[in-house]
Amino acid sequence: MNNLNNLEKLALYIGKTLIFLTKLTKISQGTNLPGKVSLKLAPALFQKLSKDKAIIAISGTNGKSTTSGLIYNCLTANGFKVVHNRQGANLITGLTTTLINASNLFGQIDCDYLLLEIDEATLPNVSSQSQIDYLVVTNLFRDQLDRFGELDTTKKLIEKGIINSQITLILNADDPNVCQIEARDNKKVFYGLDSANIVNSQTGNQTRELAYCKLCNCEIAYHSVFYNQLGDWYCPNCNNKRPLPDVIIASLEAKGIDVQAKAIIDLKEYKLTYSLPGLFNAYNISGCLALSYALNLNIDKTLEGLLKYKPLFGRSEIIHLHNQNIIIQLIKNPAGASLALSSIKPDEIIIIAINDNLADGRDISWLWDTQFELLNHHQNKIIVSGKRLYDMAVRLKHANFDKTKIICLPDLKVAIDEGFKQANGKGNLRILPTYTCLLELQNIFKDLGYKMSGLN
Amino acid sequence: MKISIAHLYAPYLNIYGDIGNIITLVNRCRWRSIDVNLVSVSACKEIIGQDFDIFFIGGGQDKQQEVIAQDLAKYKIEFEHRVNDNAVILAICGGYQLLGHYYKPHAGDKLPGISIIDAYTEASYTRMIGNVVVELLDKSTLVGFENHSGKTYLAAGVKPIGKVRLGAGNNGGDGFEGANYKNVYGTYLHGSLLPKNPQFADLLILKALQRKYDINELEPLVDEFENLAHNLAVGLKR
Ligand SMILES: [Zn+2]
Repeated sequence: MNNLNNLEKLALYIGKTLIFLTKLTKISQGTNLPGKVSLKLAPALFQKLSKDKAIIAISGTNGKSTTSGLIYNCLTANGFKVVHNRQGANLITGLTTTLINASNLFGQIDCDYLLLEIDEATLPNVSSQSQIDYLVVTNLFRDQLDRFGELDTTKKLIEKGIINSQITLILNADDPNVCQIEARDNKKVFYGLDSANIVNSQTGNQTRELAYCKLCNCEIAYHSVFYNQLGDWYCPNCNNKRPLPDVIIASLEAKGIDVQAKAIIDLKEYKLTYSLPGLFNAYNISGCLALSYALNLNIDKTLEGLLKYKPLFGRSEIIHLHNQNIIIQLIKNPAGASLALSSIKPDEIIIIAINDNLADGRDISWLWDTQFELLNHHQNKIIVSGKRLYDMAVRLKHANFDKTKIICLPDLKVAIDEGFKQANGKGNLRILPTYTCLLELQNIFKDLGYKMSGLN
Repeated sequence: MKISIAHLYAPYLNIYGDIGNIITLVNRCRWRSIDVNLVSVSACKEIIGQDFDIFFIGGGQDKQQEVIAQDLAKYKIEFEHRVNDNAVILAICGGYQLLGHYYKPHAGDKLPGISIIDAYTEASYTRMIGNVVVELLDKSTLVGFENHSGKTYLAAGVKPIGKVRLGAGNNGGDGFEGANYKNVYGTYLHGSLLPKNPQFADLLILKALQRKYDINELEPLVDEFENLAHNLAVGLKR
């Protein structure tokens, strides 16, 4: 029993009413507002509702939503009841909304696991209120630095979240910053990719996050780089190096929209199939398998869960609409955006939509750290849209893309119409939106008659 | 014509898209058929014995800033000569702070600067983040994005780059942004700065070329996207 006091009960009822109303009116703030109001009234509500629950937390810069979505599938395939903030509202207000929604009127939540995607800055707060049992840290890239100041700050926030040694840490071994996170004597499970079978994606001379050895402060070097600062790293000055991961994705092969891969878990080999393309998703799969390993889940059921996973809207799924193949891929920072660019074929029609709202990051300097040079030989036109479309046009021009092939259309709906017209049913229409452009896109696609499989 | 550019501490000071400034300098020269020799410098000993027309130094994270300050301080006299020889220096944010006398963090010792600009910087507890519009003497504007907690104070008589119309600028108090001495420019503006301030980029290129060539202006370029981006940024909210 959580023993809610009267004020907390009231806050819970109000929260539930607000959830009902926001669903009814389709207010876009629906995932945060109820939690915000309820917490104002009863600040301990999150703590009370999450008390004594087994909590799995997912944090890190990129891949939080996909990794936690995969984990959800694997847990439910194993027969567990899971409460998950799958709308991706990962601040304390959104987390509280999720709990209010899942709770009965007495403040009880009937589930085996709370699966929470948590923003890095929110992690210490959550951790100070409830015992996190498992924490998955995906990676540390530059993301909306205007929020945190710098990368080291983000790392410190996660370290602050590791409040005691009871948290089992699931860490990306290939990211030297994640791998070297300061912990107490926490149990650690490492995951990564296999150096021998993964070819470096063509990201050129992209600026890499520098990493330093925590033992001797020397700059980290690599036997092989998989992606940006992710790779088989070592310290050239002492014995520190990437630990051998407990879970490794060893080979990737695209079969249509499916990927067939080999996973090595605790030295045993498994074959798996899933429908998430690319190197980065291999990390999400690896992280999910590492957690499954830590929880000792049934491997066959886990692989079934992976197979059934449907990507979220805007996370590189292939959409068929009005006889057109469309690939929508959210871009939000240099690392993810450069990877998205590297998979574009020269004959595709591209729409890039850049906003600078708070949820996108107000500072759009990251466009300059992103390898748009990968598009310099692109044959077809590129449409730029969103509030900061002209910054994007300048960036493309400086990437030596032919400026006469840049079409500027501020209104996203107009840009989409033009994209359909240019693509004319052939090849792919590739859309790269920032976060709030993706939300707009969701509505545009609904209006065009597309049925969403997963919402953000 | 030929121009030589040194990107100081390129592997270390590489946040907030400052690389956009290098990309812009290089392209605006190449679009005019000016040969560019771009050298990525990771320690200042690499510049000895080589002539450079432009030095660029960007912003970095605290950890990197410390290492760099120690290295840079050893070349104080070297940079004095270069500045008197009319070399152009563009320094952004953390790089700008190191052109002054020192940077005083919250904890620990002062980081030494190279005293090219008569100014000093102290860490504050307010982080100044947001869009910036700077008005220059000729009423033209510079647009960018600032993100710093250091407050920079210029000595009396030191020329700022301009007045802030929007944003905090040097210290959020006196209404000024940046500093200029001879061909040296320090500023807090990321964004990146030069791509959507093409006139300022050209000013730097012209001054750099004038070290060796007798010219008064650059061949004009068509800046349609740049001007649209600039004008849009002038109207942004903080
Ligand atoms: Zn070491």
